[in-house]
Amino acid sequence: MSSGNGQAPAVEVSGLVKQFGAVRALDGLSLTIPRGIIYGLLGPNGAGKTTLIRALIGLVRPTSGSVQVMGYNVLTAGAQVRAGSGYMTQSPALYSELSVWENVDFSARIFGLTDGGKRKERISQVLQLVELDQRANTPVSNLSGGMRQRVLLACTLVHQPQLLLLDEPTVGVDPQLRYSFWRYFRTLADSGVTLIVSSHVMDEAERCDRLGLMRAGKLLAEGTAAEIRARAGTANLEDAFLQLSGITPLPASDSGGGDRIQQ
Amino acid sequence: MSIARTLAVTRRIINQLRHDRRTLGLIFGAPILLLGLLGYLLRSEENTSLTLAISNQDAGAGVVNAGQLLTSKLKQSVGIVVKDISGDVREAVRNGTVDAALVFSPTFSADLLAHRPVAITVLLEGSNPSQTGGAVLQLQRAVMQVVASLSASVPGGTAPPQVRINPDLIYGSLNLKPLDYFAPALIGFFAFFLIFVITCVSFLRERTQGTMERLFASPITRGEVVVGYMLGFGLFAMIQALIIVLFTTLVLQVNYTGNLFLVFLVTLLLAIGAVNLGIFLSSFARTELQAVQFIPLVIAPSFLLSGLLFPVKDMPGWLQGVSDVLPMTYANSALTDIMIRGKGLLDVLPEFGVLLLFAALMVVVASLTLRREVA
Repeated sequence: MSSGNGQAPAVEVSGLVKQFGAVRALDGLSLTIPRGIIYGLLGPNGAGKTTLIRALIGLVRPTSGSVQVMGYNVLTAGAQVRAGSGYMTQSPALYSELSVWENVDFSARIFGLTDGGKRKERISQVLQLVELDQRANTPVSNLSGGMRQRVLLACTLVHQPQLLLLDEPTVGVDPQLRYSFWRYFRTLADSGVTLIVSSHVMDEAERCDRLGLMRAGKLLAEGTAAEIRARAGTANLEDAFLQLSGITPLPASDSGGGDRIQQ
Repeated sequence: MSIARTLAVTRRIINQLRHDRRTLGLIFGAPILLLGLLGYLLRSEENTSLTLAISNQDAGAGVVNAGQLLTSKLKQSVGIVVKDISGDVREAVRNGTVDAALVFSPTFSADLLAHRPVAITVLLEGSNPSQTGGAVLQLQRAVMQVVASLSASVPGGTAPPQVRINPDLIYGSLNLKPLDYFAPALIGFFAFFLIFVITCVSFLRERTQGTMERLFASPITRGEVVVGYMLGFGLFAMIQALIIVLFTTLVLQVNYTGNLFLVFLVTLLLAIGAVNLGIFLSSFARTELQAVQFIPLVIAPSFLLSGLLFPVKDMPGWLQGVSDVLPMTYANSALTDIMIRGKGLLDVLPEFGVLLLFAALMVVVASLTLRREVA
């Protein structure tokens, strides 16, 4: 933790470019995310949300630009960044032969929970949280898609990361559990954890402290949900997003005072 | 039955294969590779002649030296090449300079002329029973022919002389069965093959199911992943090696002379190399189907060129070069040395070294080809 700065923002990205062959997945993106908030990344498929999240923990090497996470340069201090982060992938990437417990236990060990007693306690805790404590010994291959998503969240949380990167965490999760996920996300944020959540569900976006609207590898707009609505001059986020990305021209808009973002 | 639907399936298959160039290449290329290899190997097998050293200790009888006459006649025999060996012929047979050595006794001429039964000692390496049998037969035929033609020219030699071929094997015995000969190499081959395929596919699955991405989102290093895999699969390779060795010796009752623990050690070392080769090559496959394609490309040449079926020294030069870089060749040689020739650790140390080097090299290249970055 030598080069880490306790006061630095959770994320500081500047001029980030990622080129995959002919495709520019991230196109000069700059973004600062303070600690202890839920930051929502919104945007259509292919906007670059996943690439951005991957770049934050060094799974994507930037073509240019800089990425600082918790005060660490991810290129030079990737191990520190990864040790303090939890990344929930979009697809339920689990070992299907292993039981629920074994999957979470593997994550715990990889992240250095070496004390057996503490590890067990922590695994029980996260399994209760995702309401899978009764299924601890079930092989993952026998679980439904939503349950797998919950195991994945348990794996992501088990080492108590200070930064959570959640790539569409509630896909396939029923509304009731989604509600409890989000309640827990709020609890985590209140305790100082920073959460970056990608989504294209707009009612989830309303639960975020700040939002970044992405399109074609660029940040179109940034701010609280209210700010973004106001900027676009629309009543809801969905319209605001469409308006700002210029996909669908809105019917007559007064755009009074709204500082439109140019494409 | 709808023709349109049937053809839709056919059309889809064609399209899928068109997009999977690698599989397409395998379907058309692998037979050429494998048949080509076999062709070269069998062709060179046809042309091999028996190289022979002759130790003529025959003192002669008067002006006649039957040993000398026989030697010069044998030099003209088809399929036999007589090499002049100055030193110990036994050593020449042992180190493979010649396939066999004929020894004419000091009383050879005298015995022949006196119509006493004579025995010609044939020194053979003996570890490969089919080669031993073949060589004995070939020599028997050649010697009988030569002796018959000689007896006509030798004064007073009217009755056909009674000449016997007396095989003297440096290793093994005439009781050595083909299974005894193949067992050591097969032990190594199965360990290598199975462990390679299992590691390669499970490592690939780690990538396709996305768990690799999550793994690399942790502080884990590439070396930790590779060595962790090696230890995990190494454990199973160890149990597998133990089962293979015990089954071959206890159930199949294969004859062996050397130390079984050494056999186990060589097998384990080869299997550990196979684990890391599997991890390394899995980076070059995108699907399980493509991983399975490494079997004809990697495993089959190992099978054909390691000396298991065809002796390496009879192969064309460029194939010997390929054989020299295959870990299977060294495992094969070490296992045969231990089990049939009864050699000890010191004798197979070079092979041990190569296998160890291979395993270590594969750990390094597997770690280096592993990418934390998703794309």
